[in-house]
Amino acid sequence: MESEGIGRVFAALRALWRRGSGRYALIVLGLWIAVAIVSLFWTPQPLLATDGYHVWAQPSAAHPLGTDGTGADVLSWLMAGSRTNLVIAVLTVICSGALGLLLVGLMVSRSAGLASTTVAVVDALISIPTVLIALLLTVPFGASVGVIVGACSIAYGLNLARIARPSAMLAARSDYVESALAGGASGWYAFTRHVVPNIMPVLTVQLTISAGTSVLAEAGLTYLGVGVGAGVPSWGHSLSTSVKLINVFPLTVVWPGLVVTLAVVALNLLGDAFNSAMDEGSL
Amino acid sequence: MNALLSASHIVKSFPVAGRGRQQVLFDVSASVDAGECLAVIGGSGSGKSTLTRIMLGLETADSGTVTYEGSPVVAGRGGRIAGSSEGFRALRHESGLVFQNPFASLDPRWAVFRSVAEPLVLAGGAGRGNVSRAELVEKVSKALRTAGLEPGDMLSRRPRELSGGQAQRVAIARAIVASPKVILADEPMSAIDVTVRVQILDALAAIRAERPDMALIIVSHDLGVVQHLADRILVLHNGHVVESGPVGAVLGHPQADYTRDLVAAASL
Repeated sequence: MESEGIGRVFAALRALWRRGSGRYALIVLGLWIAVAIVSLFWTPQPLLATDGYHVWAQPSAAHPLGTDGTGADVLSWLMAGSRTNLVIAVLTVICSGALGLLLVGLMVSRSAGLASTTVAVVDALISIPTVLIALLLTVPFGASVGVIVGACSIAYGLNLARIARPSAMLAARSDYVESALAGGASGWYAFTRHVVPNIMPVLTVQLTISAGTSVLAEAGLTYLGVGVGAGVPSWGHSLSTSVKLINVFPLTVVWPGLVVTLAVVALNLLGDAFNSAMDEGSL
Repeated sequence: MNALLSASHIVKSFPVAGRGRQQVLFDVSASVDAGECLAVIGGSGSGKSTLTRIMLGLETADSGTVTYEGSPVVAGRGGRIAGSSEGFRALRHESGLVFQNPFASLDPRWAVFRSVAEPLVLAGGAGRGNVSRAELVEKVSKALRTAGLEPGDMLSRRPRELSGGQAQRVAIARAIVASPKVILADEPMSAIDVTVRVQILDALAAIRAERPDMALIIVSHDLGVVQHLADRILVLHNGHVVESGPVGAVLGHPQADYTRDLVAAASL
């Protein structure tokens, strides 16, 4: 059973690797994960090491991407920030996926009252912007990674439920689900065995987009002061500390901006590659 | 003799947007004996699918009673249905379904083997380790053969790799794999190419020959199909039973005007 599962993962990776977009996404994501792991043990400079005599320094052997306004090494902070952003992206995917699936399950429920109430609630809540949710969460909890994950999960979970509902409804009302229910299957069985696998293409694309958008949200929310806490390395933190002097020292903004762009594009392309592979039946 | 499955005084209505409720069945009764094939015929909207779905507990009636093996399994009480859980569960586990569109009745992501084996898994045999995979393969293969398909590479195929006739025979194999006592086939040939209808007819006839105690309820527009398979006919028109009886009598000497029109239209 375990070897079958591993075989499926390798088959999925091969199917993604065959596509240009999938290959790019896998390389970038592989590098991201590798850098995040390496940064746990090693960065070119200690994060708290600052050099007041070399602020806004140009790239050099000691500081390959230069230094920021406190003289801290930009590359070290970007490497450490990759950990925070990876955690935010992964947790957002897990939490928004769980919330989205819960809402989809309620929206395709055989209880008409429960289904229509959930649809109305989702339609009402989906209009609240992520920033506002983050601001509301910041009041009791303060700025933290948890607030970003919470805000993104609520916003993207609602969005996922809204987008996945039509395909879920088609599967839930299909003859094969009716056959299973008539044969004694529970609603949980029908949802997990028939409905969820049949909405997997929509889920996969939406969740990879959510992961990418959470990276952008982290940058935006941190810039607004409701993102990661002070002193916590993240790509958004690197951007927000240097963006005020973009006209004077543009390079320090370019590096985190470039990393964010590469990661978001990779996640979006990964979703597309997943979708194409599933359409072809490779997954 | 007690009927295997019967529905008595079934009344059913559906809500219609802006127009209250529309009644589709008016005090309708029907029954099928073990080993018998009952054909329910009538025009579109006559209530034939609704009646048969109520008989198998797939739909709830406003009032009336469904009895399975002599015990009431669902009874309408003031518009609410109270299920007799034991009997209802038995009916669910001992019945099979064949739908109109074969591709819609098979999960597109599941291989034939998994789709056909599902009723066995749901019945608890394979899922609880009572049936080994080898036995499961054997039962699925046998069901496929009975439905006129050679298992071979069929077991690993997905629905998109099947023709319409093959898909419908897979659906039939799925319906019979757990040896049900009653099968409902709701217009099983109307979405199938005329050239492969005979394969489906042959499959259903072979199943009846192999399992003489199994009851078959077939909903159809096609009087040719009905004549070929059924022992008894129930003619529905606008939610009322207009005629019922043995096939030869109803089709040979129709008593109701509506049945005469149906027979005349079929012979055109």
